Amino acid sequence: MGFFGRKKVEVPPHPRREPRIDLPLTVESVRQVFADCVDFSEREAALGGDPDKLVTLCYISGMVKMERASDYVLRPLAQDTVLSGCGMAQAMERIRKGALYNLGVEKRATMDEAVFDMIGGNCILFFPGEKEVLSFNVGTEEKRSISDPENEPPLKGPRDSFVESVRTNTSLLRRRVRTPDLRIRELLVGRQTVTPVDIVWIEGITNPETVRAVERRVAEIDIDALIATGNLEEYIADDIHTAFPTLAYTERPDRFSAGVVEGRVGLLIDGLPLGWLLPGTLSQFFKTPQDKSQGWMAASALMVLRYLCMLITLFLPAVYIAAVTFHLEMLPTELALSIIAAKQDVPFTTVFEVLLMLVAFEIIQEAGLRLPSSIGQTVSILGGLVVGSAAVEARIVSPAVLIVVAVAGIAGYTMPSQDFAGALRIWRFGLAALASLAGMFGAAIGALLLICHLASLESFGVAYLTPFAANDGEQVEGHAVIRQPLPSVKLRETALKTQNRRNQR
Amino acid sequence: MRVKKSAVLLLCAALLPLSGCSRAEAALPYAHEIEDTVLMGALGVDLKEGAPGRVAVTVSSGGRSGAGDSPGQSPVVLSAQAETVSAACAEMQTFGSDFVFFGDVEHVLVGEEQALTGVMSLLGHMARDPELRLEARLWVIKDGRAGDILFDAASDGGAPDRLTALETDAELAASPAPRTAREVLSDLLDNGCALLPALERRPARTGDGAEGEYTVAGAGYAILRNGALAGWTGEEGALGADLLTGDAPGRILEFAAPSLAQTALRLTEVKTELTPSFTDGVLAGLAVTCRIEAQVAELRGADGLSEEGRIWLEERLAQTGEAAIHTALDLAQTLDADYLHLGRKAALAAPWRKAELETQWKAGFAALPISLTVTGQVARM
Repeated sequence: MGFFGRKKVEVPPHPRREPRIDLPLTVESVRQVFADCVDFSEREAALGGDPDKLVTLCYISGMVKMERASDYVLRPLAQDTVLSGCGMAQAMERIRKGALYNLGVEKRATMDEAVFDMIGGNCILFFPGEKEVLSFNVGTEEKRSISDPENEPPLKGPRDSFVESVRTNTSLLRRRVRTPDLRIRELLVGRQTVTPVDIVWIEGITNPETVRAVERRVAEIDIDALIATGNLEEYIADDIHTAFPTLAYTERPDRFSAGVVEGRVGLLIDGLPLGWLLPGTLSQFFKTPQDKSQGWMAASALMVLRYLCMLITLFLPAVYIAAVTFHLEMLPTELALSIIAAKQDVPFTTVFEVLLMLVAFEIIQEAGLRLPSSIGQTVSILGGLVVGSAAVEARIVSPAVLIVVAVAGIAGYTMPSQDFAGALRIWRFGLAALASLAGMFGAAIGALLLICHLASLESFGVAYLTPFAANDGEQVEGHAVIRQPLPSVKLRETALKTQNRRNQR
Repeated sequence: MRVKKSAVLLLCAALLPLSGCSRAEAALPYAHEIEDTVLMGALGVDLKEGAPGRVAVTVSSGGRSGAGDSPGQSPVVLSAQAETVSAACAEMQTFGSDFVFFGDVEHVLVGEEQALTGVMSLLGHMARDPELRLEARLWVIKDGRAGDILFDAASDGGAPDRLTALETDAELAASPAPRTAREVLSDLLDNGCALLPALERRPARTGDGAEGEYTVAGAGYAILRNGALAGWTGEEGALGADLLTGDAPGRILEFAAPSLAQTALRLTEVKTELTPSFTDGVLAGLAVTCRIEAQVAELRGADGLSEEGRIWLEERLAQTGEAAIHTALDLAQTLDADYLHLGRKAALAAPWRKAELETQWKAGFAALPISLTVTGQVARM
């Protein structure tokens, strides 16, 4: 540890081996690769029942559906007498052309392909003396069934949500976006997890530059594992030195589909029940799928309310500190007298009180999140009501501060995006600290810094403050704060630079 | 890149002292804990007795009830003397550990002696002071000192509450209407004179509802001319001023006659018209026409109002109004102070004569012949 921080440590190189498994494509090699793997299985079968013509079927238990392997691969393999009369090369060709009933069959010529097929749920058929193998798709379809979205509850709309299987998720998308122009390209990310990442867009609408940028950034990810969302987000985001999310995610296929149709690029990852929409802009984090299901007036009112709540959650503690500590003239006399009366005998300064309560609020929230829902509710009740009212009665905090922090916290819950709400919570602390140093002057400086910071952010070439700060000089179509009636929104967002801007007659 | 940005920011911060903000306390606002602050609600300014040129400033906070189990707080009254109002206010900060906050001062009282000396310096201080506001109500104390009223009221819940109650009463009963310091300052600068509500400190009598020895009551208007007190309207002149300014609706007038029961009339509408007359382009006179409408608020000792009684009341209403307006106009002409903005209203009535009115009004107002016609109308019951 040096005076100016940690000493820099030389990072060793991390070369990628190509090919990853440098062995001949044989059963022995597969055995070697899966040595000490209890789930590796192999089975010999006689072609057409001829014991002199044995082939070997390799697979990984649990990854394949046994009935499928037995009925569509092994049974015809043993029963098709024609195969017994063929040489190995001929038999392989005959099987590839349909002697076995299985839907998916591919020829594989390298160990990498064969091994990753097995890991993906295929079974591999080895023919003695042949350099190639056949790979049959007999993977299991065990997965969580499609259920209601938990974090984005629908009020008036479809009730399905993404699951952990990327192929199921693409099917959910296909069922909504039936255009043949929908493109789904798959990349593999993670040296150890080899996770399929699907990039989806609509040809003819989405900006090809954005598609290429997304593809390039995903392809450049060279990490061990893609398991958590951060493994993707922090590698493809334009700026990770910000608390604000620059990629919008959803667990609702309808919202994802709407985004793709709007001209955004979608990302689906195997193992994560979420879909990402790129580029992400500020206004996106205030929208909910219900906005287009409700009448435009009600939706507009709710949208205005959300923006108002954003200001409240961000600035209320800071403004309270500034008003009570620096600018008493901001408060009506009666309110000031009430606050004074409530604060009598409280031992802490207003600044300390507010910061203490903000921290306590975060602790209670975090405790509630980490526990099972039933206990979490108890913690919330204990923390919020019992401890809160006890603290007020014991004159540790004043009721006014409790109200301010609670209102700021509750206002934050109106944000449709939890990532965005988290960013607001972080900035709330910063603004409160600045207000405690210099009152409204500090809060104003904080607000200025926030605006400058947001204005400096971009997501895949689109300004983060779009459409408030940059819309390529064109009028905003659709809704930013006020949602216009849908028939009058005839163009897609300018900033997305879509190939076809018109979205209706 | 980020290191460079941080370096630039640090450099800018280091250069901040060169801008003149070398002391942090000079650049940043002062912090005061709200619970250690006394919110003053009323401020009184008097001439210091026996020391001409010095002012005695008295401030009073309102009483407040406690929250939960904590006891409330009695009104705090502080007084200091100095050469200027600002010096006296600054001296009050040394009286205790609490911060004395003047930002909530809603009522400013000026003692008669101080008003005779002038109020412009006080208004200037209010305009420049970062805490005091020009939205505060301004009152003049007739035959008394502002400090006495603030000290008296301390035992009765505090002067701010009492003055706020007077203000509300004035709105309800149409007694002399409160004026903000901004309005007064604006009138003095534009017109050279202004009308201010007057208060009087009277010994409390049984039935006044006051707890102390003295009570505070309205006493018509004070007339300021060239920034200093020039005279008082009295009650009749105050009614006349209200009739001319249109602030009279809501007022109760009592009439008694041998043939009628005791009657109370509530003024419902007052319509005053001014017509300037010119002779050869010279302002020759002003005709004032006033129509007062009222309805019977109360009849004592009679079941109903007869037609004869109504006509009698209308005549008395017109006579009372005429006398009141006469008093107000005479006062204005005697003092040569157009505190009722008659010149402005006359210009509005004859806009094509505006330029002539503006040039001749000030010189000719004191001797201008004014004819007055007042009619009264009492609504049938």
